[in-house]
Amino acid sequence: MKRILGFCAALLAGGAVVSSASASGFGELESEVKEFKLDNGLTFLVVERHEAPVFSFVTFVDAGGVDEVPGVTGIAHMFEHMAFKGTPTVGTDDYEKEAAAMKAVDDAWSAYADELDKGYKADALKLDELMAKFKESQEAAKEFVVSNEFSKLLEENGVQGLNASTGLDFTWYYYSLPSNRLELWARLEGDRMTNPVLREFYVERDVVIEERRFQESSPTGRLFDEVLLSAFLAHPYGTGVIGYTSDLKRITREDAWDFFDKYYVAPNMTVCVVGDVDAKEVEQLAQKYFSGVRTGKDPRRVRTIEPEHGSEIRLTREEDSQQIYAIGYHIPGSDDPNYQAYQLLGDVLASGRSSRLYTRLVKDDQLCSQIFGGVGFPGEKYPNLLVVAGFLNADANPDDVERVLRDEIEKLIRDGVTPEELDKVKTMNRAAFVRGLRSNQGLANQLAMYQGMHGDWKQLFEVTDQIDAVTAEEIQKVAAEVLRKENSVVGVIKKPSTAS
Amino acid sequence: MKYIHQVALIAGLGLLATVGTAAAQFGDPREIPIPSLGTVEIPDPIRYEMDNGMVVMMVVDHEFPIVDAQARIRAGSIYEPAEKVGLASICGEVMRTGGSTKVDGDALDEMLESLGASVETSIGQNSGTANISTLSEDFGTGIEILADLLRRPAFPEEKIDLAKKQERTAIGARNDDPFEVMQREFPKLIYGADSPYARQTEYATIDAITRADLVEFHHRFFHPDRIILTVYGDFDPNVVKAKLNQVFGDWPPATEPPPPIPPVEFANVHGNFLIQKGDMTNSFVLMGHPGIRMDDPDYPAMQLYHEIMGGGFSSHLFNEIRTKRGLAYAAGSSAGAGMAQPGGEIFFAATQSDSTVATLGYIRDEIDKSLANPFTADEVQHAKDGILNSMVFQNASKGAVLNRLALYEYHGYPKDFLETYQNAIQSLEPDAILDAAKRNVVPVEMATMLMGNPENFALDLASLGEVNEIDITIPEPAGEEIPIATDADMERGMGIIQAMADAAGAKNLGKIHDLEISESGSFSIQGMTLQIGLETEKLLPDCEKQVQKTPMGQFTSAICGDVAWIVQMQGPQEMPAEVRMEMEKSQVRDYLGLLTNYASMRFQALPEPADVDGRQCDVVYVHSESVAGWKIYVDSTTHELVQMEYRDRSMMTGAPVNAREVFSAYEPIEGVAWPRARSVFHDGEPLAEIEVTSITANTGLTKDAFAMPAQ
Repeated sequence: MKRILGFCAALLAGGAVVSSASASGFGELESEVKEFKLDNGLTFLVVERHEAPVFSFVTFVDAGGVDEVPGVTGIAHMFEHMAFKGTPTVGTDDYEKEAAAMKAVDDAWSAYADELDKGYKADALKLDELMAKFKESQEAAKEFVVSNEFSKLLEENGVQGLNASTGLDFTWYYYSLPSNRLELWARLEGDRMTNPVLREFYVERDVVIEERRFQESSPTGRLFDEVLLSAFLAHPYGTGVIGYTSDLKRITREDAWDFFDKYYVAPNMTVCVVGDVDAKEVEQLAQKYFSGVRTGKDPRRVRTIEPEHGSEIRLTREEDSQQIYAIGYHIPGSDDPNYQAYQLLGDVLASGRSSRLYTRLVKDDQLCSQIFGGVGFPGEKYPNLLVVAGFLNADANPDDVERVLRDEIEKLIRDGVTPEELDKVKTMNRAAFVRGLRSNQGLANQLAMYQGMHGDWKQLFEVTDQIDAVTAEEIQKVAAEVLRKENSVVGVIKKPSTAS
Repeated sequence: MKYIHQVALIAGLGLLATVGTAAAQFGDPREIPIPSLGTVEIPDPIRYEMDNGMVVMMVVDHEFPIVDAQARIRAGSIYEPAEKVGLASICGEVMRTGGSTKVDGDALDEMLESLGASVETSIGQNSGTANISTLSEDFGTGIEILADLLRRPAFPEEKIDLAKKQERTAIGARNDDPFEVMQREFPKLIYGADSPYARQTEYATIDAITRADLVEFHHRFFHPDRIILTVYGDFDPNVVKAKLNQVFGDWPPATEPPPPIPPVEFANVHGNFLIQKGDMTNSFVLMGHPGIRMDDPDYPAMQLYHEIMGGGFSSHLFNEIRTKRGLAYAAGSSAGAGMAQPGGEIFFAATQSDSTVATLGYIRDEIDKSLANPFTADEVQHAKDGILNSMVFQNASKGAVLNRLALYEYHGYPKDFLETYQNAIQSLEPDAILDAAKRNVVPVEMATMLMGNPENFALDLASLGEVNEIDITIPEPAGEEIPIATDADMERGMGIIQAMADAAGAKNLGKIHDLEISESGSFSIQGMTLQIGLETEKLLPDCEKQVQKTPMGQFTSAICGDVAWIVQMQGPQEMPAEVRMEMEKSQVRDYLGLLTNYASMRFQALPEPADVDGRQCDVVYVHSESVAGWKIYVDSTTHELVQMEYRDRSMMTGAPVNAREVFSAYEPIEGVAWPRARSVFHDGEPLAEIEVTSITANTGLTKDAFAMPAQ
């Protein structure tokens, strides 16, 4: 169960940020999308594809790391882990007794946490004693657990790609099964979205803390953590998805319930099924197994708007590892009418081997061994960053990378993009878009994301026209608007300076 | 109780009616009926051989307007010479970046991206691949490009240099990602560090690669009769056949058979190994030994074994280490069996530092248990169900089937390999799995590797018995070739240095107790010139303190016996280890260090004298363990030290550089000749001009001057 950063997903998965395609080519696909809504407000999308007896699905929840509050960072991701722990009927041999035992665990933790909160006045002996009780209570609760029953059941039934990921903007759960397991899927997925049981919460918490350590072990991970923090001083995008270790060490099952209660409500969720299924049957099964998902109000969204910094923000890490130069420019969120212009701007700069910065930094000046870039870091729902990152060749200097970058940006703002360049990035987008829809899972994810995040899956097929409509002048205009020094954040990993 | 709370909430929202049935809805999931699965239509690819021996396999699929093609070529890094590791990979890279003799690589980038198409080539361990993906209407253009690259790569020098530069960068960064370190080092343990299946690139092996090597490698391995070409997607087979004939038809087949696949030899290394990686906040634990190929009769049983031991959520390792104890982010095992060569029976976990040693214990216990008693019938059934029910995905897309069949053909496996495997899985009983496991998993033969920061391991490593440390320090890039020294060279070398020391008045060094030196330097950094003042105090023989006065502020560093510290803007602190290492190196090789210690050092005279700024010099190579590639140039007539060449690190980036330091304007101090001027060059570029403004001996300096100042 991994976390996603919009940036990485877009760059590495290829086409996660969907773009252009000739609208005419997708009319047929568009007509095959069946949509229905349950009484509780849960939206379903189904596409029948009978090439092979398998199907994929995604449950999209419009909630992610950005919806967390200080002190409880990491809870969106933590809840995602808990959604694999089962329900009253999956994962236990006696739910009633288990529920009582879990209550005892929560009480024991709470007693320990209360003592811990006394700070330096906390009684060390008492802390030990309370910790021992907490561990004891966990042992007692374990008695009733049938470990990983949810995942085991799916494995026995031939599941592929069983996983979930939490990003800043949203969380999704997905896997594929042979198509004769459709009802089993509906039963298991409906159940866990209706009645999750957050068993083994405190054991899983340690697993997530371990995942955090894993990220900290990578120099690149450390740098991008801090670039985010520096770019978003006010907006919760700055906190990232994984959460602070200190928060993770203290979050409670109650925190996870609060998050679930607020965000895992039917109107805030979309389920999309693609593959060898009958849409009517999916609808019947949805009625039967998903009607119990709680309804509720679509939760409020983040209010904070990142104030203008008015100055470039820079950070430098000295690490004995490959040097990295990364720069991010603040841009609007994906609901901005000009968003596609920003996207194409990012592509002109850094997408592909013939992009301007790849040509300069990798091929001509040979300062970098690889570069990445694009919009949507760390998410897209809110104003985010257009990022360019270069991994430096051994003898290169980050200052030279910066000089080349500024030089190229100056040229772009002054001279704009050529018609050939514009055609090229539009074509690249179209091709990536088509490739992204080829697999059942790819199509399911895209449809669910457009429905869940943008409110209408049909927009997936409109973006193509929007991209085609972008003009060279618009790109030049947004370039001049955002590619400014005082609108940027710079993060650098350089070798430790040695005394000469 | 939270569950009750949920139900109450639903009731409160007026959904009580559905709640009544909710309990019934979510009955036993195992009782949900599973209808029979629709038949899987496995496409039968069109397969034919061209006259020149190229095998073509095609599957048509019109759902999307895209065509993908892949050529699989019988080439690989296992065939490259040991002293040129990296050749195959660079050849695969430059085939694409360098373009063909018709279209250069940069023009290709432009052309392909304008079509929304991609062409990539690479050469891996035991095969090379060239892929294209285009929109249907552009397939003709795409396949022409592919054929052109395969047949007529240009290998331009500048793209070879770029690829080598990137590879050198990768070598410098190869210890950054702990996962990469693990994946590299463990095969070296079990196959041997020099095995073609485990060896790694080094600066020296990359430096040794020339354009002629690439041309020769291509010539040796790229022939149509050693290629399997697959085409998948939206196309008309007859049109594509004609096109393939047009672009590949006149390519003559090889005149010689392909070279044999080098055998896999097992290093047979067992015992405990540690990789210290101080910046890791967690640890990797791995154990294993070489394993089997996919055509081994035990392969199906070992797949089931690993499915149960370390395959997924219900596996023993996952349960014991992650689920029960919450210790690890990842835990599992694998047979890693390859089609071409044996994999490794490997058991692993990524865990928190303090439980490193304990986690190893849990893994060992689980292995022992798995070899003592058969798995339960239930477990085996569960694992079988998992493997068999997911089998349908192997045939879920026509493209996947085509790739699978092409791989079978490439490695000489039968077409029905998957079906045979499926039948074998079905019939395996717990006892048979145990027997296979006993044959193939031998704990005493295993190498154990721990990677992390042992200071944070809660349990002492010594509890494991002997632990051998694996040094992953990246060797410095090699300097130029130094001829093998004869005794005469060594004797002459010492003679040259002795004459230099005599001329410099080294015998008078005893008169110098300490030195205070003020210097003024002009440094050229990125096109700017900075004036830097240097105040150095030396207490002979080996205490040194230096204050650098720069426009950005003042930096102090000092080293004296065990004491080493620096003062930067944050205040005084212990000198970081890597800075100290650099300081100690420079103390060994600076002018004073040389005069003081030359009697205990080894010098090799190089055969050719050299001209330095019009002065004829004898050249001496210093054999030193701590300072690599160090050369001294001594004036043949005056015996003055004229120049030194050594490896240093860039002041700005810390990257290794070739440094040259020229000494001049000697004046005596207490009877010892002292150079009043120094010029420093990095990689040939002027870096600094430094002049002594004053030098005073015997000021009465004591060790107290080198104590670290209070915070």
